Amino acid sequence: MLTLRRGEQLRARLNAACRRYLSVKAEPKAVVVADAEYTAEPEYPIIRDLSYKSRKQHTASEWHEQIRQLPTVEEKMIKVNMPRYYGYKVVDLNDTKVPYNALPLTQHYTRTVLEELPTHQDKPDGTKDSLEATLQMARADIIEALEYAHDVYKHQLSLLETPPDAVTREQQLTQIIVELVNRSALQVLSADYAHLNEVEIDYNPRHEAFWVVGGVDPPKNVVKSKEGRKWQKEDAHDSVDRPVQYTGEPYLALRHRHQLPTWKSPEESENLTLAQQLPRFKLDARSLGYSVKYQHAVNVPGYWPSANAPNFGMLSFQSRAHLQLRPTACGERDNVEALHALAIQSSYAWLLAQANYHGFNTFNELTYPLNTQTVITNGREWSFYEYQLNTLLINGQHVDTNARVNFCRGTAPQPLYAEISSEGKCVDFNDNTLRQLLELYIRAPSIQRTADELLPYVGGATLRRAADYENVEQREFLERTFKHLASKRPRHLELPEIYMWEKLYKIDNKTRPMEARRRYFERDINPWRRTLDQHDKEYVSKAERPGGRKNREGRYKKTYYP
Amino acid sequence: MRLTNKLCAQHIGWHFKKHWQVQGRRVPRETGAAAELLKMGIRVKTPDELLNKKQEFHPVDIVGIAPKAIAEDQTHPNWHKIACHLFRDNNVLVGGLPQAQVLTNTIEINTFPQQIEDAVSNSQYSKAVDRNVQNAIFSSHLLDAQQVKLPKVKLIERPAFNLPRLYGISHERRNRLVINKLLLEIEKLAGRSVTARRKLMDNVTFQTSVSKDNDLVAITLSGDKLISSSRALDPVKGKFNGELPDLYPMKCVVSMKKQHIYTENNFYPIRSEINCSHPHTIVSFFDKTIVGNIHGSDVTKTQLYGRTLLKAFVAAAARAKQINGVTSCTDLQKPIVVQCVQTDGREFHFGVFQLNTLNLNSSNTTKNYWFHRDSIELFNDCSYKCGRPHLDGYNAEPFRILNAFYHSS
Repeated sequence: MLTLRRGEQLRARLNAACRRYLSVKAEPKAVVVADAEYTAEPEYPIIRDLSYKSRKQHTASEWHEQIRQLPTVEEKMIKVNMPRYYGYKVVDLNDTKVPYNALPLTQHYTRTVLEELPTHQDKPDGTKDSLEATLQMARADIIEALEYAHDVYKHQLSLLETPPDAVTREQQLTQIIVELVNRSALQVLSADYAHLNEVEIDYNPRHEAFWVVGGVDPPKNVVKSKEGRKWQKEDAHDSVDRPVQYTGEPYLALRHRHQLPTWKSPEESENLTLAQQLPRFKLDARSLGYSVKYQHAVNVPGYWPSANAPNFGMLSFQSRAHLQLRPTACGERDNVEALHALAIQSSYAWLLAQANYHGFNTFNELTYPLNTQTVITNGREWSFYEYQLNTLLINGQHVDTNARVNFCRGTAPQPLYAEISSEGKCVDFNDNTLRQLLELYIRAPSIQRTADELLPYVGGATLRRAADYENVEQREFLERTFKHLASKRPRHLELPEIYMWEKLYKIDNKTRPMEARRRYFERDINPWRRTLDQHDKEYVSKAERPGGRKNREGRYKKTYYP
Repeated sequence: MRLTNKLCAQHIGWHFKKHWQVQGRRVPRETGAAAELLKMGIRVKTPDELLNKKQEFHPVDIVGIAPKAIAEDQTHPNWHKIACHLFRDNNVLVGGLPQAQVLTNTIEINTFPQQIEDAVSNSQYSKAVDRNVQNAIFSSHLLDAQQVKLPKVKLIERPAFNLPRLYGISHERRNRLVINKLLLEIEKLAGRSVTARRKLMDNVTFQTSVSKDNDLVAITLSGDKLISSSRALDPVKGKFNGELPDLYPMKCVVSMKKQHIYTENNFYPIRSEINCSHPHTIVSFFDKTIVGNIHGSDVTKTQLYGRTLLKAFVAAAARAKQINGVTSCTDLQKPIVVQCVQTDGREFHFGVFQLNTLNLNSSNTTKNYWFHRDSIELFNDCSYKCGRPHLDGYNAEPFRILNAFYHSS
């Protein structure tokens, strides 16, 4: 009985299967659908390289794509910080120290081709006339300003019993000179050059930028760790990425609504052979004298993102006071190279920070070039630079494959005057230097782009900054988080650390087997993998809780991490 | 360890120590040996004389990392017999404006001079200028990216609360930016003919000392911005009469610290030989975390006005003494006029001071003039509200007055 029933069941199932098969065969519609699936040329899905290395690269590029997709400028910057709760371990570039032989590192880290221009000579008569009248007018003003600045500062110093050190003195005097010279230049030129009426002046602004550089040799511990794993053995000596943070405070910076004209065409900027000829500084930056520190990625071009700020840098005045601290053994040539390095670093960082406010960052490439002009001065010696930012991609394999390069051209320092005599008179004023300075002011920012062209990677006309969100809570959260990351406020608790005695008695030699295992290395926790959002959420008291006192869902404030 | 039986039984070392201490206190008994020796003409020496010979130490002059502090007593090079009242930047006059008036022998006039009043009321600006001024406020109060640790915030109801420290634009920088940006806007309007006759200088110091009814007062004040001009400001037309306020029972030098160490310097930040050396306008910042009463209470409005007056006075007096000689304390041939602005970035107090006499004694019939109006606010509130920048209650009047001040000659 049992076997019979089992046999019937099987037969019924077989019949059903045959019927289904036959019906599929018989239906003409299905054939049409199947036809559409075929093409003359076979289109295979992309064959992914499933090796460990390429999977890593794939996840990285996916993350870069996620950053690109985010709608607002602030969210993009928070997103870059998401993987590191304690911040990145960054190479600390700043404008107060340029070590010996810093130019190759600077060129590698900023992917910049440096063109040294000869010092300015008298131009042929034709071009001279247009500027000559203004130059003469400005000349008298600026000589007076220089004499005034020197005299007043000297007089002020006489009041102090112990004058400040030489570097501070130079900074204070140069600040006065730069402000007065800028004021005179604007007054003389603004009648003829309308764009100068619209510039915004930043006094000692905060310029910071974060980027990631590839092509650096791996440190010893990374090599050792990779050599210990079979599947990574071959890649042990592959170059690694290095996060870099630039921090600077120029004397003065001028910004404008429009962009400066470019001086290198897109064809000239895209040159793989030129890119491969760039110096590559494969050693650790610490070998030169740079230091590293833990900090969040901060990008600030001197102001916070706002709706209608002048977003494009026009001119910045950098300090060279720290050059006094360099040992004389560095030599003349290296001092000039240090100035070039400072100009490249500061220009690149300022432009990168501006690019960040337009939705680009070190992982998302620029869609149009950015330009700026930089002056490095101590009041007497002036060097002039122009910078064109074409590319931001230096991370990972881009350092080898990216064909675009950035350009910087500039001069060696030239004196504006020989000296201020003991009577307070300016001796041997150099008209050529002044002319070059005025030319930087005269160059009108002329490039205007539509909003879509300017901000290709942001949410659209209605959603560019965090302030554009409709949700009040989200706006406040993003504003607060963004400023908190940028503030560099020290963490309440110290960074995690393995103490020396722990390394000896707990890790290398297990001498304390009876002790409770509470430390992170005993519990298999990597604290450096902690992400930015892994923290206790803010509690909402019952009185203020939306949805009533008993609402369990609203116990903690919502977070809006991207 | 406590002194117990156990300890005494066991710790022989401790026991010996105690024994030694007791025995060490024993007084040697007089044996008469010393007297015998003296009789024989032998001098008796104590063991101390032989064993612990007196050694003379000479102090070594060690070069330290910082110069040694000079003792603040009568050996100090700046010590004077007569004590002097000192007034510096972090102090205010407790009696406020009336005290400042009596101290500087000044009568108060509650308007600006006629030409400034006219200039303020006649000024008409386009919408663009107003917008630029508002942008200047935004960019100095909100959008500047400096982030430094701000002073501690205390709740008055709960003074023991330790609130998280805020990071943001420092007070000094905020003021500097707002003044720089307003002046830039004014210079754009003025054009080159006016601006060429003015010079700007940051962080200047004025020093002067005056005597007032047998009291000596040394004043050192800073101007955070000095606008100097190539021509001195004209004296205000017209004669003004008024009475000095009565401070009784207070003296006009109250709340100023009295010291014997001081210098009677006169310092004006620009040498008189320079072309553009005449004082025109002084801008000074008011930061309530730095400036306060000596007894610690908050600064009142009248004290703020008094501070403005003193700033203008010290600039004018330092200039007058620079021209006429340090010792002069008579009526001036040509009065010196100085304009003064005090601001905390939001509230502005403007005044014009005319120095007619350096003789501050109350018997002098010539008085100095102080033209001012009550302070006014540039705006009510400028902050991030719900994650968006927000400016509330903008008032163009301070900008107009500042513009009139800049243009006056």
